[in-house]
Amino acid sequence: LGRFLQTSENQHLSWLHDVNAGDFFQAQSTLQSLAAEHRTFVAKKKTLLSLSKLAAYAVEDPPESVHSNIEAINRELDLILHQEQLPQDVVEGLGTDIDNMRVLSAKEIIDLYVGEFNVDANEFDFMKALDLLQFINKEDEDVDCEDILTHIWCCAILKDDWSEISRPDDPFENCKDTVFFKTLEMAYMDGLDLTQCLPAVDRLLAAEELGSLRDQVSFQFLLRAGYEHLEQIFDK
Amino acid sequence: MQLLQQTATTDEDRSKINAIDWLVFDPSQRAEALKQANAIMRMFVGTRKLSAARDVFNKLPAGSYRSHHPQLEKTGNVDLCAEDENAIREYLCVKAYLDANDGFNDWFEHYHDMKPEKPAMATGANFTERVAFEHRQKQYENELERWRHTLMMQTKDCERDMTRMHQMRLLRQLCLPPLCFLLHTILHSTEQLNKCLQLADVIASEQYKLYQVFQRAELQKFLQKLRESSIALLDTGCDALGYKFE
Repeated sequence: LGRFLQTSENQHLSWLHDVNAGDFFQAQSTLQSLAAEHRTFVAKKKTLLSLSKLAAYAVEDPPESVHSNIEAINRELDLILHQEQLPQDVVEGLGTDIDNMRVLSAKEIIDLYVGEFNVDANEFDFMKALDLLQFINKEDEDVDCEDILTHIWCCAILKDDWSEISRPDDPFENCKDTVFFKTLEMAYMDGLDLTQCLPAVDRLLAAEELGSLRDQVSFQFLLRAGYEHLEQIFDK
Repeated sequence: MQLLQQTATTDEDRSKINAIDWLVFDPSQRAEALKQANAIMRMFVGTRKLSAARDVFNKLPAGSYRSHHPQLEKTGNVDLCAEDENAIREYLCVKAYLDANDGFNDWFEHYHDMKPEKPAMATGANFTERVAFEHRQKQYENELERWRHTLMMQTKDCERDMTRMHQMRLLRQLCLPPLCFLLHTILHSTEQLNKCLQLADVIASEQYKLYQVFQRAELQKFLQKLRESSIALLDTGCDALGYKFE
């Protein structure tokens, strides 16, 4: 019976058999691989991972592999938590709700946090997007981490109307309230490595996403001044 | 059959309970009364003397944790020292715990008294009763959730009192797993089977870390329970987690 249940069509039942037989080691690994394959409902994937985690803690004298599996499961659950925390407006904008949502990739979640659906995106949303970068598979050739990073910061820049800010009265004071600089400040306070998670200023200014803003001299000036200010802090 | 067995109150317990009377006499001693009452209730809950704990609880005048801090009354927000704040939190948690247990006993009684009448359920007359029943159950869940949440919060921030911390950890281990089993019983017997499986999410979550208060054998038993719910779900034509087959 055990072997019959291990075939791919019946795998979704085999953990029930394993639990009954007291083989929590086997149940743990089956549940984990079911979760890895599942794409349709994020809530179901979460429950599969949760069950797998509980099964892992139920194993008598767990071998080392079980501990590393728990770590992997926690990472997956972490990613799901980011998806669950998407603002409600954004989820509604997709015409769904969290119970019926499919499993999204880290890149998709980033795009939703920084994208146009998230009208009220603030520095917290951009920080989440930066946090999500750790889930991007660096070996995947189709995904360029640098591009995503530049995209996140461009979206942050575009949240504000820079022609208003660069009015001559007090440009630096006005700058502080932009989403871009608030995110920067928060990232710095949180101890993120800004050399890693902030693209070079020239790369940012070369991004086509910024459109006509790229050519505004006052905007370029403010951005470069901000970068210089950062460098001074790091030199200290 | 009650899942949380209770132990009877002895004469010695009785004198401990009555000792609290001396402390509630003077309103300026409320903070101390609260701490002493907490300590006694902690012991009673630990030895499963829930009715004795309830008696201690009833000795404290309602809202007494507020009366010695008039500012709290007005603004609802005042900087208490960590010790007082912990005492108040503990008091509220014990309240939630006792209420949750009473809630379960009510539910249990209600559930079993209802059962023989089930065939009559189809007629309109019992509809209100059913609504009331569902409402009560909802309340129980909410209470349980709230209790869990507050209990999680209060284990932080009290490094000074190691005995108390140790007692708190034991209490969590003693009380939380049985409550999870109770909740599973409720959800399973009211055929909210997919919610049974979702209990796994709550217990496995890193936010509450409930899985840490389960002994290995308890986890194994809990997974067996979830398996039963899963099999019941398969009988309704869903997959093992209550989703439609893909």
